[in-house]
Amino acid sequence: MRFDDFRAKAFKIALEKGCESAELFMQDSEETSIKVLEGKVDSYDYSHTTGANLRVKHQGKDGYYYTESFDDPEKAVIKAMDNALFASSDEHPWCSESVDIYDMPEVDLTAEMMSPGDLISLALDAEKYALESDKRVLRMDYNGASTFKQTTLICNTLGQNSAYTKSAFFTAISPIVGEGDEVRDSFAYLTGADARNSKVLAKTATAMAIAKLGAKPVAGGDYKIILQSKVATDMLGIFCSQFSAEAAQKGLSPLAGKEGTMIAAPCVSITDDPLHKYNPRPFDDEGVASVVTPVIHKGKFISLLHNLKTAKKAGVKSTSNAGRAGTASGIGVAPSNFILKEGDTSLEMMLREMGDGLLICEVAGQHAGANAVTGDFSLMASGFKVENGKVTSPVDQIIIAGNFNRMLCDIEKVGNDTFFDLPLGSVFASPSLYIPKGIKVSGE
Amino acid sequence: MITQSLAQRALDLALSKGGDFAELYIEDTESNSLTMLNGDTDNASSSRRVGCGVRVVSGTNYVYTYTAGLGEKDILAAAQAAADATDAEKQAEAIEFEVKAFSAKIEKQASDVDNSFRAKLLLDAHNAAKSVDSRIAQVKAVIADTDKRVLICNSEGLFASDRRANTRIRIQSIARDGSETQTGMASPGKGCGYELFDRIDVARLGKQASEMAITMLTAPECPSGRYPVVIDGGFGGVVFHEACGHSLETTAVSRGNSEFCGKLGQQIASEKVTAIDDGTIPGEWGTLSIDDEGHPTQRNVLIEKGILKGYMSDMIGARRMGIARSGNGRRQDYTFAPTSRMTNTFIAAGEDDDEEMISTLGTGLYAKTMGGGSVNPLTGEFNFAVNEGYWVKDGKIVSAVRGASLIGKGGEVLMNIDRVGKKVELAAGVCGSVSGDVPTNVGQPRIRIKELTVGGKGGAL
Repeated sequence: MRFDDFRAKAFKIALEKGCESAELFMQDSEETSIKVLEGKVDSYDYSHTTGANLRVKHQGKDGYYYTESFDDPEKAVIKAMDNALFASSDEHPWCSESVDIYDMPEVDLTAEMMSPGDLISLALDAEKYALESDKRVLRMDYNGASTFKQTTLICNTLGQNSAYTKSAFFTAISPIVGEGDEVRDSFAYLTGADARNSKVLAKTATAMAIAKLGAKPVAGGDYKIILQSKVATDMLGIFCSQFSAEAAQKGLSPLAGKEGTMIAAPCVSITDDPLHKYNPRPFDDEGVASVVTPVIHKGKFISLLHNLKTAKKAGVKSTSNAGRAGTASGIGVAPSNFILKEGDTSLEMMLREMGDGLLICEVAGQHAGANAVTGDFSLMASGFKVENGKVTSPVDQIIIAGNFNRMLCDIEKVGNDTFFDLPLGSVFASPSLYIPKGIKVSGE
Repeated sequence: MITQSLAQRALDLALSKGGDFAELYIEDTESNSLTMLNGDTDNASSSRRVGCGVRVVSGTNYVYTYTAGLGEKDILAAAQAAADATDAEKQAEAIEFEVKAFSAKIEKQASDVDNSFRAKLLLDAHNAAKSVDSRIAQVKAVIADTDKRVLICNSEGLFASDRRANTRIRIQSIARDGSETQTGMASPGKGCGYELFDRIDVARLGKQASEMAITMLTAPECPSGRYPVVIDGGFGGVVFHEACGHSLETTAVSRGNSEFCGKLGQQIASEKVTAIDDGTIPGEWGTLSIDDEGHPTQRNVLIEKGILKGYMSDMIGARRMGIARSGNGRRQDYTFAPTSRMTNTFIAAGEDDDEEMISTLGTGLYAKTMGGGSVNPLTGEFNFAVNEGYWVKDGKIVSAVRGASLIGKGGEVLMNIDRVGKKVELAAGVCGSVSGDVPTNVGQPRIRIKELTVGGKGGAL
């Protein structure tokens, strides 16, 4: 039985069994990724999968069942109806209006044009450039390229029937460099049309790895800190659940009820922009047409991110932030493109203004050393010592500890070098941030 | 799940353009979870994942394709796609299958319990957690189960089915006092069905989670610096998992990306340390009859009295290094090609006394409950969080401390272990790596590390 047949039968059975409504969220994904090492194709992965998440409204509550097998619509309906009985009793309205996708920004079609052969030759080039760029480059830990295409369809018995297709293309490399007994690595990637530039990718990554040679901890204490754009972006990703109305309504966000108050320094503005050309989507994961949401405006907290359920509870409109952790997951809240607005200070100017301090370029251990409920973090970090406004020696094996919410207030300068992370699911973007106080460093 | 004749055709097709080995990984997994928030069921979900992964290997390189669904057309299309991407010497021979069937011992199947049954267990956990203290603001409890059926067939004639069950409960208590918020957690899991709940006391676990949250609520921030650290048994084994386990997987070692490369037979740890990876322990969270390449699991001695004895390998890792396979080829599901992964991996029992480790510690940290962490296998640099820690002064516990984290390098820490206790405890975790998330047990007795970097925001205590 194929999907269309499964859909027709599941909807019919659900309504016959007394469900108020039924919906299918279907994603059809195709992915090719190749890895090249030592001048040879080391691995080649190709996949094509279709999965569908059935949602029914039964006795006023929503129940889900995800399946990749379309041969038993009745079992799907029965399981979903049983799950509905154990769902929360908060009212969850459904979206009955289809979305016209023709108002979307033009999508980058690079991914569609890349053949497996193209991916392989880009990766072969990248490895060659990386090895040629410096004699301390030993080998690649990872070197590959991927294309990804996904069609998302939502249709329900209330009239919703919308679909869109997104695609992505990226190349990534992780060179290993060494000198004496010491080895270091780095990771860099490029996306979209830029990802064709193997030379830039290879040079960026090897320069990053080589700069780490000789890194050592600094003495513990209070330092002025610049979080480089990539790290600032990581921090947004780690703490984004604080901006979710779902977390707030469950008592899991310190920002609950703080709308209208100052929660960040006046130089900080954050927007959730589902239509941003980097990673656009016409509607969210429950079919609500995309809208741009100001989250923080010049330090003032404007809005949490809502789906239809949290919006109903709060008496506001959905901000089109229904999100699913995967096709198999139920509907929660997730950012689309969550962007901290850049300022006009370059990283060089920021370094000069700081004078002496630390430039943090990497953090690790996010899933263990950070608590979004409290905002506390304690993360292994590396980067560079900054003396008299200049980057001097590399630093590693330190821990930076602080609190995200206090940090938002302590930001003194916002850079002009926005970094976007990979265009899969929620995208976070931030420029470098200068934080002159409040972050504690443990080291030697 | 599929017939021998379809498997045969798919494998032949996969090898039609070369390669010396082809494999099908067929999976049909049902899972359920029920979440309770503050005593009310909040979310119930269930899913069925069905699909097939096809791998064609030439030497140490491979092509991997996968498709959802187990229709003949889907499987043959995946096999064709794998063949189309292969460009190698043809070495295929006629396949003759030897059929084998394995299954974990499952006494109470997930399909025999319903959401009401799950809800009752969650409510017991919730009530016990809530009763600990009026400052317990929220209790979240989740029961999750998976029932996974796999069939692994390959061009060497393997046609082996296996059934695996994993069941787990997770209780999180949040304590609040004014603007202060702290969390406590308990989350045991086993490789079995719902008989798990005949063996564990959910009320006791709920209490334990809440007591931890309350203790941390009034704890000062942990001081930072270089200190001796005692790490408790059970989930404390995450230290070894992160700092050493990943660096002993052939995924890292075979490419020279591990600090333990080329060190077989050498001393890499203090002589108090013996470390084991054992995928055969009955009913454990990380246990498998056969790994995800169909190879039987076994007990692997990784380190014996400080001497490096072996690595954990999958097929390609073993080929790359010219060593035997150790039954560690694992993957999250059919969407991942397998790599070398841990199963139940732990530091074995030693001879030291638990109390003495603290009474002779001087000033330092007693890490009672660890959080998660991560490691760079290339350098051995690791970091992890301490969820429940206590500050020790002059050999006596003086205060609980919050916000502590530990960082170091695997090799250094192993050499610095100066005490290993007598009683090994195992604890369930979910390990994420290149082949996805797999259930693994970490474990150890209480151990002591002479010196480690402790991160925290607090002043002297």
